[in-house]
Amino acid sequence: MEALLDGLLGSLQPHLIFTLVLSSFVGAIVGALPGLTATMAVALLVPFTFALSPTTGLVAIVGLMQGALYGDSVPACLINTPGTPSAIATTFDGFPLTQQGKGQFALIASGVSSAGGALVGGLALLFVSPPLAEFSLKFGPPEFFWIGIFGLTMIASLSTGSMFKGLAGGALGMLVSTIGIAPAGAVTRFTFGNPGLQAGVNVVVALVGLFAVPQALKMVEEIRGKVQIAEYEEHRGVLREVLERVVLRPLVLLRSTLIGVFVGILPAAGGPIASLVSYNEAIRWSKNPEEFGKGSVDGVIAAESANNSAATASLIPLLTLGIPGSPPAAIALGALLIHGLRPGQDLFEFSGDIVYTFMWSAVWAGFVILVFSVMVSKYLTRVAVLPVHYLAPAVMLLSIIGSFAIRNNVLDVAMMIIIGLVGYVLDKLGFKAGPIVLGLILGPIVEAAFVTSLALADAQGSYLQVFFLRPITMVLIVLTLLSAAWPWIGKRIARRTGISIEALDDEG
Amino acid sequence: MTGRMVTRRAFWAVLAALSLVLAACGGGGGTTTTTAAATQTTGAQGQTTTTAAPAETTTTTADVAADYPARPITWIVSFDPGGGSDIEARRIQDRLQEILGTRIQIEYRSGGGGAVGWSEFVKRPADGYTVAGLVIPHIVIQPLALEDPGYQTEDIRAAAWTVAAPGALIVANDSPFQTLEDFVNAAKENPKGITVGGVATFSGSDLTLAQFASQAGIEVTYVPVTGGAAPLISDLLGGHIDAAFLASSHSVRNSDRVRTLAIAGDRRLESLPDVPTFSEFGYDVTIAFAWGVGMPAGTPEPIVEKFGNAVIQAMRDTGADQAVIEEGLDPVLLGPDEAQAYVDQQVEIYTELLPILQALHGES
Repeated sequence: MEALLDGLLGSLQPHLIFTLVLSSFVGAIVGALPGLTATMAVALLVPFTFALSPTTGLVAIVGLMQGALYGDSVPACLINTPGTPSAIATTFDGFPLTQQGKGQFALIASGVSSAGGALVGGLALLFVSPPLAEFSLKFGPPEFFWIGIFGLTMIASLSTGSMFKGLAGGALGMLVSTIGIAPAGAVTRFTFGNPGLQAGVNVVVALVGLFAVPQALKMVEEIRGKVQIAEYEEHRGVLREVLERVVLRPLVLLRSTLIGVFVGILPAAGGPIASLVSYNEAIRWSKNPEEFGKGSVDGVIAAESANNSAATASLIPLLTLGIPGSPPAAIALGALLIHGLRPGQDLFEFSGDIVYTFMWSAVWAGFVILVFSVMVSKYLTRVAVLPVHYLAPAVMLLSIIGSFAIRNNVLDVAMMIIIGLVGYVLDKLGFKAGPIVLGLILGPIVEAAFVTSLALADAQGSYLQVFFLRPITMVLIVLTLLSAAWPWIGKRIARRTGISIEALDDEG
Repeated sequence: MTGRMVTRRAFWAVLAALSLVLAACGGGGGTTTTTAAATQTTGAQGQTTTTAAPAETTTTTADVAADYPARPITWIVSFDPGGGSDIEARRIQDRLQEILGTRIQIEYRSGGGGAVGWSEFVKRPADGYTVAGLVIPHIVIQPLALEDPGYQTEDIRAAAWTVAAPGALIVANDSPFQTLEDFVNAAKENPKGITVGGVATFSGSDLTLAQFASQAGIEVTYVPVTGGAAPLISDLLGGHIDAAFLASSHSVRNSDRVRTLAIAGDRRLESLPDVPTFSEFGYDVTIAFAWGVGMPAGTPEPIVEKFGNAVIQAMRDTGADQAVIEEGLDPVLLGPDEAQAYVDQQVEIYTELLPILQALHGES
């Protein structure tokens, strides 16, 4: 308890506050550039954290993570391109809002919910780390397999057009994810003799290709008819409006941040899955599911709060068990080790001042984001009124820089462009990027977990036992079946209660 | 808390760091642009012909070493930041820069268990300005086991090995196995029923476990876990697997939650003095995970010498050669003269072991 309070005071030291503000700001910029992810922002800072005191270094890492996860929603809302994989779900409603001239509304909603996510994630980190970390250990390969399958059922809610095209897109994504060295057996698949493809198609490369390139081409296509994405209207009191919405209907934010915390502590999942699951649940629980995908503020809140809380939560297993829950957390582990700090029980006992200061800073990160989003949203929104003949080339340029920066690899740029052109054609044919990316992200998780589970089943001599009879897998199977059947169940409920949910019907 | 001096130093360091990152981003990814230029030129040379080495390497070798290094050196890390390869590079980076009088730029090229970075690395000019972090047994096993790894072990000239860690068989604290004998007995009673996790198939863990099982006359089920040591430890602690085989540094790092049954080294570890080696039970099972640095094969010897010696000196100067012991690592400090011989010895070991594994997993 005393350590907790010491940490609170420690985290309020001016140099730490300054570090947090500056690193969040830098993180927001890196996150806003498509292709540059939170992991890269943290990686860039790594050499400096090694020279810093451990506390300052860790605070800088948490600031960068949280900043990047707010920043990534900016291009997601304004140009329909997620800044990092965690903002995929933000595009679904953020961009429609911008098209309706409510870009500022979208940005502030994402700022408020990012802040809420950071806050709840930080509080979870402070107060319930040990039990949460213990619980996360109950998730083994069979559980991850079912989480992956559960995730794939989200295609049902993401398919705004035909269900068939959604499923086909998801399958395509999974197929692409098999490129490279197989998770078991050391077999190289679909590389056609090119060693550069051994690592497979990078998710960020695919993301930039599938979202940014088609978007830029669509802008060019409409260049005669339309000079800009949307009109800009000055709005007043946007923050109050958003806050009112969040406070009066806290359930969306609360549910989303809790989903984020939970998914964040699982080592194999992360921000993109957290925000997609949370978005999916927001639709399922909403009284107006037909609004989603057309500019629902709840959609933005669900996606953005979940990814921020997941980022903080990924530090929970790191600090308590020494198991990093996300790539940025793995980097934080490196920073801890270089200072001779070993995560686990010892860390809390012998270096409590560092840990609690760091945890409180994770809470403050939320406030920093809130202030940023309010300050900059007005100016950022003007991106949407930039003439398309500036915006489209700028988007392409950023895509090329971003895809190159991932691994300093020209092959990635080539792949980004190819995927982008294919994505553009597919988009024209009604195959949306959402399900494809979902397949691409979940494919490797499902495959690796399946292979490992098979080995476990061989050892136990029972496939039934491993795949279907473990307590948590049973819960996940029920959730999966519910989620897959929801479009039909939802329709029946709708018919009975008279609420329309046309969004789930075909609409071209 | 921290002293005032440290605080102030930290503050300025953060400021400098962040403004640097900011400048980088403002300029459209400046950090990337610097490396970008390097990659593009070398990429072009590497693809067209390997003889396209810069002019200075064609002069006599004595001159080469005298002038070397004349410009910054790129150090490729074939894994994500924060991993073992990154830590080993960062540990000595500062001191190495001082000794060599030039900047060391770290470039991450992760993927394929390191294969992506190394296959890119061997295509760079052999002029001493591109080095790469190396990991044993990866650089030996990948070319042996993969049909198309993109590089061969001979394409690399090892310049120095800094640290090593033997393999370790570990179980969770609440496991019924107290000793290696318990483990062997359980495996005899329940053939294939005991699960042992390791990182990936055809890896060092996979090979060594197969070697141990054949000597002990037991059959266990190897569970390949993707994603490195983190998910492996979490599967072990969650009770999803019965044991795990990985580098002993991980068992030292998690020593409050895992128990190490045996070490696959030729002697006990200073950081785990109570843990016996496999050889104490009469099993000839040794595996070393080692971290080092190398250059593309064909780099002039005097340059390899100068760089390799500087690396070893940096390890000593920074006190890293002692500090790593607490982390469960062995400071091996093999300089340029012995470094390559070490690789050749590993190649022999694994060439012998590989058939065991191929028999176990079938072809592929």
